[in-house]
Amino acid sequence: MISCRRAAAWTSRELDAALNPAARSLLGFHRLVCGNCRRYGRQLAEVDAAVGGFLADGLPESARLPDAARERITQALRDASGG
Amino acid sequence: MSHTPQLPEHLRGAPLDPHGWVERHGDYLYRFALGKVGRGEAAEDLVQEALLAAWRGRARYGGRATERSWLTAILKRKVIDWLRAAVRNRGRVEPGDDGWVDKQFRGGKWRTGPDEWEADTPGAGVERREFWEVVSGCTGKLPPRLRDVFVLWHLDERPTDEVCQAAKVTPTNLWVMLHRARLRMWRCLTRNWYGVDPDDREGRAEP
Repeated sequence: MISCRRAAAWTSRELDAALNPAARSLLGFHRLVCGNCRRYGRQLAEVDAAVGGFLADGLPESARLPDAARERITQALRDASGG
Repeated sequence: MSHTPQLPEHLRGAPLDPHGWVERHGDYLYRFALGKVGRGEAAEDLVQEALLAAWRGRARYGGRATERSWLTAILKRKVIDWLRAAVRNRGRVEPGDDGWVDKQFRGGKWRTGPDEWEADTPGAGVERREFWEVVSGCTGKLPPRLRDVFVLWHLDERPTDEVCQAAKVTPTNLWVMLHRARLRMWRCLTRNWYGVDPDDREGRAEP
């Protein structure tokens, strides 16, 4: 049987549909007898979806464009637009 | 000044007048970039590059999207290019070289394995925003190379071989880095949102 360490690595590849059929079978068999890796499989899928959601819609709300950058970018736009 | 007639007044922009872009969208675009590249100075530079590119390409703005969506789409392409270059310039990862991952296992088994979580992924509202802050904090704690690969993989919608080619990594290298990044994200989010730190459960039975 594969180790939990290998199962964890394959769980990640499974999320990317990058696991060959033989490895999928071995991972499935491992999960039949390993509650930790069953939970890890479920939880990692949720973590990956959450990160995907954050990268699509989430923003670090407390961050603000620093004043110096604001002035620099405004000036660059003014120069570029001839204004 | 050119308005987009199909949009409500409060969403209309001034795509031919860039002087208000920083005021109207600067903070939003900066947060967008910062959430993906994780470095303030790089995020500032990307916002500037995106706005200058938008100005140069203003003739292509058709008014079908809001001004902010249009600028964000340009910024997203800049962010993806930046991440590809960052991954390329940092080189490859050796498959056996990660002490942090080594410490999660003992004799091939979980040292302290996953427990059932005590919280869910929030759907919306204030809790969702708090969750984003936690996710942002966890991505910020990833080693820079893993962070860049992980974010790039989520943002870049091209097939694996094209992502690998653009970032100059092999598929095997990509899978190794994604696994290492995800394991860290799982651990960090379990500790800070979903459950408790597995290290606080010393003595629990292993599989």
